[in-house]
Amino acid sequence: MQTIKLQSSDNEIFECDLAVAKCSATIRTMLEDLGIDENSEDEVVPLPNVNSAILRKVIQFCTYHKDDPVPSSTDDDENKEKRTDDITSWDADFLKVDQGTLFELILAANYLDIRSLLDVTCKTVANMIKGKTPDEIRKTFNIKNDFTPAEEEQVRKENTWCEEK
Amino acid sequence: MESFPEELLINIFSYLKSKDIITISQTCKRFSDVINCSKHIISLLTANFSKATAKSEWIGSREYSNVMIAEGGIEKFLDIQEMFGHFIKKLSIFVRDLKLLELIEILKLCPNLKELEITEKSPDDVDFSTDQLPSLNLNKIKIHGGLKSLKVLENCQTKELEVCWRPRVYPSVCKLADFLVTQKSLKILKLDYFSEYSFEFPQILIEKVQFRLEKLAVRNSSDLYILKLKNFIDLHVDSLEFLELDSYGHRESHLLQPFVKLNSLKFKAEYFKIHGPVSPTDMIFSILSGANQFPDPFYFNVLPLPQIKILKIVNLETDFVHYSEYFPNLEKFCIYGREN
Repeated sequence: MQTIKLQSSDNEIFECDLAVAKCSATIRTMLEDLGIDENSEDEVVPLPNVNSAILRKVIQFCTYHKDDPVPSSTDDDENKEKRTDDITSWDADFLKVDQGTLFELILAANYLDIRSLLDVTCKTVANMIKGKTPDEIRKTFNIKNDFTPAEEEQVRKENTWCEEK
Repeated sequence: MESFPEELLINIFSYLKSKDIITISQTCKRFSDVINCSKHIISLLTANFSKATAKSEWIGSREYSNVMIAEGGIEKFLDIQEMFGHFIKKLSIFVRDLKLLELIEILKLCPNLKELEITEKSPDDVDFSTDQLPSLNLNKIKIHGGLKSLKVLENCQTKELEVCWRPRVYPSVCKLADFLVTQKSLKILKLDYFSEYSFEFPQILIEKVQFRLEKLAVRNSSDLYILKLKNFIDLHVDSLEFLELDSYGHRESHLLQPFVKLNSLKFKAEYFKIHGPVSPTDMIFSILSGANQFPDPFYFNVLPLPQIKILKIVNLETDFVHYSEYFPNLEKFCIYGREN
């Protein structure tokens, strides 16, 4: 089985299946476009935007999902109602991490262009938002309220029907 | 999370339903900006009820200004619109069996509505008291079909009303006059497929009319029925700027009052007389299709017509040269609907 070496931002080297690494469209493109020789034992793909802790999680996710069918064309998805209640139990367990790790996984999935990981992490965050008030959301994600009182009043006015509910 | 790139935030928010999207836009400026600038999210917001039943159009920040409800869409619409009814500026309803009580409910949830279009097929007959009715300040109402929904709109004010009867839908007439007497600021009235069955406007109601029209168009109607409108038209001699009387029939010509502000007149000239001085500065004077010849000078009490600067003629069969002397100050002249 072919393997490939990936190097995290903190210079840890991970050796993983080529098929696993190719879950990442970014790595696929790098290998194809940049002509990195897949057979070369010494070749290392540097991933300066991903640290070792996150890269380990990403490889774990891709190893589990490497045989998943490729989702059909993305255009169809645009019109489909997006569901958030279809996260598998393995994925849900996998994502039982602290918020910082979850956000880093989202950024890594975005950078590495791993659609399935990006979808499931974004769904997880969406689920954390659902049904909360603005204050609860701020508390959950440690978001600073940077509206001036006047702006907040304006926003509240625009949305009063929302708060009556 | 505030520092996420925009496309990631949009990806996350796109999993949310409208209520949660509105909530998250209230948490901080960054989210508010991303949401207000994202056409994608707005289309997802409305997609919940829009699938196959309605469509929406994005115009500006936070405005789902243009919403259409088609067959089968009312229930879904009522489900979701309370989240964003305030955004709706223009609403079109095309539903076969419109329930007037549902219409009332819909309109009450759209307090900022400016334009309303209803296509009536067979609305139900139901009684309600006028204090149940929505009070909206509209720019335009357009109704096709019958006129039962006008009953629902009696507490609303509009600047423009367009009514298009379906030919031979006679029941449910007589509502127009009742509606018109409730109006205070109507400026534009368009009546299409106007017929003798469409409009009863007894003198007693005419005396109650509070508005003065700037534009009046009566299309696809018999000249006989337009005669019935004469008293109504006469009310507006001081305010009318545009008049279109497009009729068929050969009964008799109509005497038109001297309109003070009229600057555009369209009619089938064979059947109408201009009576007394018209004194606009510019006049677009069209003879609508169906007129075979230029009007007999006899029909103009005041000839020549020096005030007319712009003349458009449709379907003129004879040569205009014969008549050019009546229009000494013509600046612009065009003929439509004829070779050469």
